[in-house]
Amino acid sequence: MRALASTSLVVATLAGCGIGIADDASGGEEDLPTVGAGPFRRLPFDENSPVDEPWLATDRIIDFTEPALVARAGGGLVFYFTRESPDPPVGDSVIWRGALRDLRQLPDEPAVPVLSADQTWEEGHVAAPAIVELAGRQIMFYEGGLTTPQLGRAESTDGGLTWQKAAAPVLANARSPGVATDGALWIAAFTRPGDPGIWLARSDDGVAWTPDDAPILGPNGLMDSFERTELGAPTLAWLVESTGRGHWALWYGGLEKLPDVGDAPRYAVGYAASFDGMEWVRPGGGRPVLAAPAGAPAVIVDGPAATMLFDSVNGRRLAVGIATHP
Amino acid sequence: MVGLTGTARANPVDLFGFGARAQGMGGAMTAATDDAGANYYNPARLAGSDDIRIDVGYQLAQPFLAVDGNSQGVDSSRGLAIGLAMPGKLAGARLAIGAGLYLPDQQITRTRTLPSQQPRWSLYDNRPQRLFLAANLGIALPGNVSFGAGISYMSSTQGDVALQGIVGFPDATTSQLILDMNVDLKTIRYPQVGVSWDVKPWLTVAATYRGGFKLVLDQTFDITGDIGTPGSPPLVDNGFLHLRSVAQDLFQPAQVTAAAHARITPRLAVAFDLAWHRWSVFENPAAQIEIELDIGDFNDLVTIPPQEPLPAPHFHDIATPRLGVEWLARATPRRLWRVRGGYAYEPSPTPEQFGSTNFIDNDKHTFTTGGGLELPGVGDVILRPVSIDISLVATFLPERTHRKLVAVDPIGDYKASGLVLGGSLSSRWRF
Repeated sequence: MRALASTSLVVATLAGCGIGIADDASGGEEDLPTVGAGPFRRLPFDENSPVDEPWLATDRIIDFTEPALVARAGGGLVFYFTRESPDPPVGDSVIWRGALRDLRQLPDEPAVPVLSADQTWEEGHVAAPAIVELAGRQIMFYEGGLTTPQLGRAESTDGGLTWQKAAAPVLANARSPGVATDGALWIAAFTRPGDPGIWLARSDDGVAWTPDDAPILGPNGLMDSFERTELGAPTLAWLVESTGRGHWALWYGGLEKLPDVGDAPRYAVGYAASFDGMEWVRPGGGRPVLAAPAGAPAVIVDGPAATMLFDSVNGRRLAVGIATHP
Repeated sequence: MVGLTGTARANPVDLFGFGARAQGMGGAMTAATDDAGANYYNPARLAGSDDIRIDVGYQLAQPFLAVDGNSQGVDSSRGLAIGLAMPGKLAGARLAIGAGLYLPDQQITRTRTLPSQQPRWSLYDNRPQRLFLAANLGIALPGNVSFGAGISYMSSTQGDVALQGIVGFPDATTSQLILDMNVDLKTIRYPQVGVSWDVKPWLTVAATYRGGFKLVLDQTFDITGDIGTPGSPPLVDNGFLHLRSVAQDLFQPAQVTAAAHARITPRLAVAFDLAWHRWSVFENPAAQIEIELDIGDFNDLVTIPPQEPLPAPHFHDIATPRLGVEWLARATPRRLWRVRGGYAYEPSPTPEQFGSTNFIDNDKHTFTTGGGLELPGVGDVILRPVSIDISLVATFLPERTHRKLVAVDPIGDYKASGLVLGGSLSSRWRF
């Protein structure tokens, strides 16, 4: 018993001198909840990775713009973007699809064209895909037409490799769609040519759409605000939180001032949200969730992390980049 | 500008108890403590023995706390718990002086600041990561009453950093700056007093008051000087940057406890504590940051937004009941075996986090068990009783839901839940 008593004293003393059994990192900061409201940071360059961070798609002569992003079954991300070659005619863009398992790795499914303009109303131009995931199928809404932009609809049952287009556009006078559904209500966010705000259209089935009478968000006109002059290229998501309550989340490009002739506009990414799809609010403070230059966001929220694709000038061409939160 | 938040509050002993016997009885020790743990639980109980008592133990608590099912990786709290009680007599009255120390084996104290909106487990973040030190005096009064009082200590730093000279521009490496750093070690003392009355040979009632405190961290950073290339006319003459950060860094609520300890039979004793904690005066610990900048003609290029007012945290006072049972399971001339059990309920002082703050905390149900072995001595060296105590503690934090008022909240709704497992091994020596 003497040994027991002595041993306990020795053990306690040694333990107090620093022989612990747990790690010494500052805890309590891991896996915090998020709804993807940022702030986002561009993927930092890593000389040891094969990727030219933060760029997902970039080229010296080709423009990559207006991405879309969905989760891939089995892990990873499926991405879409608009690809336009420098050859005439202007606007002869095509929608490409690829997939990657890791943001720091090259796509394990390299990007390939999946949707081209072959309808009269598309006027040789398809762009700005927005993907809605349903059970066993995907719905794509996209921009078509140059002189009179409209939204088209296509459907895929093979994970987005091939698409069957609807016979006619589903929404006129609209471009750059972002679409989501809560299972009952469908909402499409879009812009209109010549209008600086973001509009909504609503649908019960994702086929027949009724646009609102007025935009839900407009430029705020505030001096030095990143969204003073114009809003554009929205993306929309229906996010269900751990409590079971959901809300509509909207990311968009905000423009402080119109660019000089020949320059590309310098968008920054803004954020707004709504519980009911009717009343929309923007965060206080007037700060973007991703600093300029970055526009046309596409966002996916996965537990405590969010990933954003955006388009931005890289050199002389537009490219698609990656940003993350946290 | 990001608001920064200090998150240290109270101390690890408040959270996990002091010593294995106390832990094993659910912390219901205000009237039941009979060892050097009285330095924390009730200094009046120091005067209850004629022996010199030294307690040495090690205790560990490992939180497993999650938000939305994702573990937050909250740090463990572990360290050495030491207590001392030295009896004596003054003018015929029996008294004792004592000291209690909880010495973490990771850091003496931890201070860190987090973004204002960042979710954090308010009572488990920095709170268990600091030293506890108390010195006390207990005295036995006529009528089976004893009284005790003492002081607990806490320290922190407060500092100013000043740089003077030339700030190199455009090549910062040409800067010629003189550093002047002034750091003070600030000490905070807060009182604790206790009274104990042996109403009957089998019944003791007691009460304690433990003072609250808050520690404000006030730090400034100044750069004064010209901006430009050394040897050339400066771009800016006598530019300066002044930054001051003021934050409530540590907080402990005032506590009042009423307690009873009943030795119902020679083998069975029951202890009960009811403690009130004044959390309602807790202030938002986010840093108030003030910035002044003067860079001459370039001032128009910089906009420093005003800091938004900090939202009130709206913590509320809580009452915490604790119940402990101790049973003398087996007694032989050379061995006393005791078994202990306890329960404590600590309601959360934090309201539902529906606004911009995210001070996460839940109600806590703590179940404890433990045992002790008392020997009459150890060989020919220690002739007075020696005790070895062990305890196991499990605190359950049932799931709590936080729903945000605005859809645009960057954190959104979440659920928080958790479990804290801990234990202690102590030895008590009498001389």
